[in-house]
Amino acid sequence: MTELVNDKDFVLPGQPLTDERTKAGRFTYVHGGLVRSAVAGMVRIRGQKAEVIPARGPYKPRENDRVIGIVVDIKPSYYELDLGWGITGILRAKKAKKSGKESQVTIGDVIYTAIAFAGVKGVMLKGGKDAHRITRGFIVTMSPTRVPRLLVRDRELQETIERESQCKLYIGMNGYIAIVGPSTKNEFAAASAIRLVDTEPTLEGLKEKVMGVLRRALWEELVEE
Amino acid sequence: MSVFRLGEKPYPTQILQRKLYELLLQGRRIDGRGLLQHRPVSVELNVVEKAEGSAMVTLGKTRVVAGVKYDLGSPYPDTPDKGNLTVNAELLPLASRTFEPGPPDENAIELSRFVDRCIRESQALRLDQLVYVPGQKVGVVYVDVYVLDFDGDYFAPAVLAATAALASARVQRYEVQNGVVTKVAGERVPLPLVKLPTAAMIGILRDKVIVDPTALEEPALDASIVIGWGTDDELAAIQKDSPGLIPESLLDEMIEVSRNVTVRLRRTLMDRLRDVWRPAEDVSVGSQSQA
Amino acid sequence: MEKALLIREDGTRVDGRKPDELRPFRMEVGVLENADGSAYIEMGKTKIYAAVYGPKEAHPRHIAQPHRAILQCRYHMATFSVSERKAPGMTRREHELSKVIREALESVLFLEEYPRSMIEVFVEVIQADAGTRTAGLTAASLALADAGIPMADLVAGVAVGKVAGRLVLDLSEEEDKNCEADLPVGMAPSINSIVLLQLNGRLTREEFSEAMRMAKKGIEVLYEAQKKALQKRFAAYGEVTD
Repeated sequence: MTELVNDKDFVLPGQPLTDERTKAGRFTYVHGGLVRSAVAGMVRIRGQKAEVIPARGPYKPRENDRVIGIVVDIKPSYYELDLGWGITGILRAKKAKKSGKESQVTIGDVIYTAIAFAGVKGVMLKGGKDAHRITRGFIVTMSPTRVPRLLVRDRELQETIERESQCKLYIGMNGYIAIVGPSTKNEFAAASAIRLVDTEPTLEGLKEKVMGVLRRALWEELVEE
Repeated sequence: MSVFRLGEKPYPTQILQRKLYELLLQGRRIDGRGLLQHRPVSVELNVVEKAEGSAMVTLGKTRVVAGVKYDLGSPYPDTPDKGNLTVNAELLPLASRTFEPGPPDENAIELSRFVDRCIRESQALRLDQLVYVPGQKVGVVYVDVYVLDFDGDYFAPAVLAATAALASARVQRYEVQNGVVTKVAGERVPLPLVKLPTAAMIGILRDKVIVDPTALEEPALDASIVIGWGTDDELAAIQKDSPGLIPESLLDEMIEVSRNVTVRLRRTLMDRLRDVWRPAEDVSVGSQSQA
Repeated sequence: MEKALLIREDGTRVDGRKPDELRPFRMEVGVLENADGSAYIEMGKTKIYAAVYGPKEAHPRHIAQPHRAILQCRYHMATFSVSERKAPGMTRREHELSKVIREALESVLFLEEYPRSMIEVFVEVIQADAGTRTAGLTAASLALADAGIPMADLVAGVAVGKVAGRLVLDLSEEEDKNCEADLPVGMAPSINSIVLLQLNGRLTREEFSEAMRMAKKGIEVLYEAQKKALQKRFAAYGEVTD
């Protein structure tokens, strides 16, 4: 067996990773006896698998992922939630109350929940106590491949942003982040920090930059033009 | 049971409106700009060598390219002593996920017609100087505008790009002898452009007036208009380009703001065109009409 | 036009290139702000933007397929991209090229990864100076890689022509107008496969084989440049993110 690349190498589509077919992991495929990358990204060789973490890319639903969806349609027994990337999630409505009252969920509502199942039948979302309706704050989007940045090292960046901006972040792996804070100013400060996490090329030194942006946004004197 | 509400937006937009307005009260915008500040603008000339004139304009994350082509043709029956101007604009689907492929829709046609009016009604282009044989042979100026990247407000950069392309264009020179029009080989001349029309997009949210809204701000505005000025002192075109109410009391302020912005854009453009265009109103720049 | 003029006595071409030499070219990835993926290419005076949107909701909804994403592609030329102004609107040629580019890209994409959705590719020719379908394909492939759509390989394309009886690589417009044959080729080099192939003109069996060899050599050069452009785009990327 031969590894043709090293762990953490940057690879491109078509590039051979290893000649051991059984090692084909996420974002790879086998052609001509070689495991090859299907995307531009970073290789991870972990024991029996060679996988690639895409540098950029769409969201692909995975079971148990926390996601944020926007209600786009209400059917008699379920809601349709837009998860972005052409993905519609199905959330079963609670059993209709005996009173026959209309559901309090409306089109445009933001729901923070998790994926129960994703497969050929579509994407089913978890209901009950896993699903929360977010009624304040607002949503920003970021590249799904950058979302894990908020969560690494025991949610270091998420906690930094939450602490400094006094906002609560609801993080959807689909790239939708809901920000709920005490004031618009705080929420926009958190939003600009998230934009930085999304656009900065590397995680190196990002925490300091995030702190800088937050402090500037929160303390800067506002001057009318 | 519920009371009618005028101009009420969908729920997520209402939240955005409220947030935007709170910021506007503090004198700032979602991207950190001031209320009356347009995004950074850049003008690149001659990006398409095959066009007689061309310009690429970026305004923040909005980008527009315009090209000018020149040809001989017949005048319209009602204007035998004028050249023809044809403006065409397209919202390319590569510019935004909200633009659809297909023939120009009403938004693209609105943009074409607005750019057309800014140039035509301001009398910036002396079409009367593009006549070779009255009633028979005149110059035809095509201005084609494409929106390449869209983050709100394509009107201002489209007018800027069209004006820059016209100002920097160099077209085939023709001679007329005994009613016969012939090319003068290797000679290119500027078009008779005597003014630099520019435009600004002005939005309102309650009592606040803002300039150059982004794609995020646009849907949250109560209303918006685009205003084209031919010169520092003369309006050339106005278009209320979205539904919504404009309080009469705000209109004067909107016009005044648009004037300040378009004057600034005109200065930027003049500076950019320093080597290719001169504001010489009484000089017959084209020198293409019969000697 | 005298065809003999296109190839000089020493075998070089009117623009000074050797028969198997590409025009000067330039590629850049991530040039548009609003698209999910984008790229720009210049080959000689040919200038093309490509953008990718998606995966997104299939529209209209009934075209969605339960087992894969739909790929849509539009190749379009600006009216001022050619010497004689082109009328606005899609010509029959543009429709045909949209189809061959889409099918070339479809050959390498793992569309089954994104069921029920749609991926759109837009190729906008700002200036046309021959070789626009192949340069458009090269740029579109970069835009798809930029968008992170899984693919077996990048694809690149170039045309080989027969001019004044000689095979030449990457026709210029002047050569294109006066050629006996034009053979646009698109390939996925790492997996040794052809994804686009058209012929317009007359070639012998032997000339065809030689032309394919020349195309492959040219494509390999373009492929290396594609990889460099993507590396530049993601230069700073490198971290463990979970």
